[in-house]
Amino acid sequence: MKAAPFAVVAPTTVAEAVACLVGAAGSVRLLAGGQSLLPLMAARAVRPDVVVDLGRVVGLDGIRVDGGDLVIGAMARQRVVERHPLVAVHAPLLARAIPHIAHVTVRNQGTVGGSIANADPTAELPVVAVALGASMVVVGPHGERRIPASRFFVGPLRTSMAVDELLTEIRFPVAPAPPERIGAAFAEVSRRPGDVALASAAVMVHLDDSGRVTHLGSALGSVGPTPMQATTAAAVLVGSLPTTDVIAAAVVAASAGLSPRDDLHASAAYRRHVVGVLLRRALTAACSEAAS
Amino acid sequence: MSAAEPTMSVDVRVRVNGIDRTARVEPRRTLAELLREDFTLTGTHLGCEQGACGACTVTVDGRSARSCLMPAFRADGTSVVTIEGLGDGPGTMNTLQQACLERHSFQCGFCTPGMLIAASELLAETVDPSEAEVREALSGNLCRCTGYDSIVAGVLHASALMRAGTGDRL
Repeated sequence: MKAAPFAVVAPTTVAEAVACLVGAAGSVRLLAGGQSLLPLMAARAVRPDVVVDLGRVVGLDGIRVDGGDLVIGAMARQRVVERHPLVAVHAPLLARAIPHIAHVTVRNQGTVGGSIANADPTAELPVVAVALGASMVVVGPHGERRIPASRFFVGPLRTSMAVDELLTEIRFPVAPAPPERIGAAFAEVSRRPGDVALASAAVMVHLDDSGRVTHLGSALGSVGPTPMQATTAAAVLVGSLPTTDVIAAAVVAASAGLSPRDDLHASAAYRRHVVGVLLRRALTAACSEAAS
Repeated sequence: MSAAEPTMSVDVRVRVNGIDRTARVEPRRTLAELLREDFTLTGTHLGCEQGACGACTVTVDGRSARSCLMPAFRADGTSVVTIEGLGDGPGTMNTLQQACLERHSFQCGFCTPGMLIAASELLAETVDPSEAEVREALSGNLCRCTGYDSIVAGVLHASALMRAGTGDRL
């Protein structure tokens, strides 16, 4: 099907883009890479009166390190981020999760900010943002503010951004450099590679010299209305040696609080089971990497 | 395009297969429709029109894109290559196309343009892909004749020809 008619406006600065949101008559959608929005518009599930094209806004696709954060511009293409040397060094979990997103052709156009602002609980990037404790830089008519990932995602396809705010940057805390012992792993199950995740797990772990866990950042996808932070797993693991038994206990703790829903793709029981398997695999892989 | 006010009509200037073209379109016009209907380049096939099948894959500034998931206004100022732009012009085939012909890669031909563009992107980056890398590169393109093995064989054959020096690199 074809999208319903809409008008387009193409600001060239963030301030102009915000002005488009503030002054808009009727429903407005921001167009980033379009890989989620345009299928919905083609199906006429979304029918905006006005589309604000972010493609001409200057300076939104940078990738840099600043003040202990790896800063990804909201319009940075997923395929670029996936292969960027700064990302490999400072946010290995991000580099490992992105290949799970759809296909190369989609990642060529899809943006990091677009996926995060879309807040799909089955999408990979929101899960990584929660696991790493990223913060979202948003700009509105009253200026800029930062929202931690734990408060950014409030429901399926819903964020705590106001309707007149724009996501401009995502700040990922940089991973400790060697000789610090760190490991990162992302695991997901989907019916076919590139399809929507039935469940996913993202893990970032730090070990001390004795091999004990000093930090665990982890989150689970497709098992709740938002990416679910696995804080109970951290409570079990931090301070302990990540043996098979301790990891198993952490998985049990993380799974206990989940109440995934049935849908046509998978039952709640299956999701609860398989997300535990994925978390166990991701924890095992990340701890093994950190110890080596 | 005006930055200040929403508009229902957009002027697009785009280079397609090396030729500069212009059109005035509705914002909802997709790049696929621009190519097929405004420029009568019907080699780009439209299957699902919602980003699921990959048949409409083209390259935009050297990177593959689903032309049904790119508004025509987004292509303004870019350089697009379609299936018509592979090879040295009408009636000629490049090494990938010749290799796929020799391996009987395609049956009905509907997925062919998207498959060839996706494979071209892979071979331009990696002249010696593994079978797994070929399958990964083609994983976003559906073939309803169930001919995947023959398509993968064609791409691997192209890779072999390029490495042997008997085919041009992409």
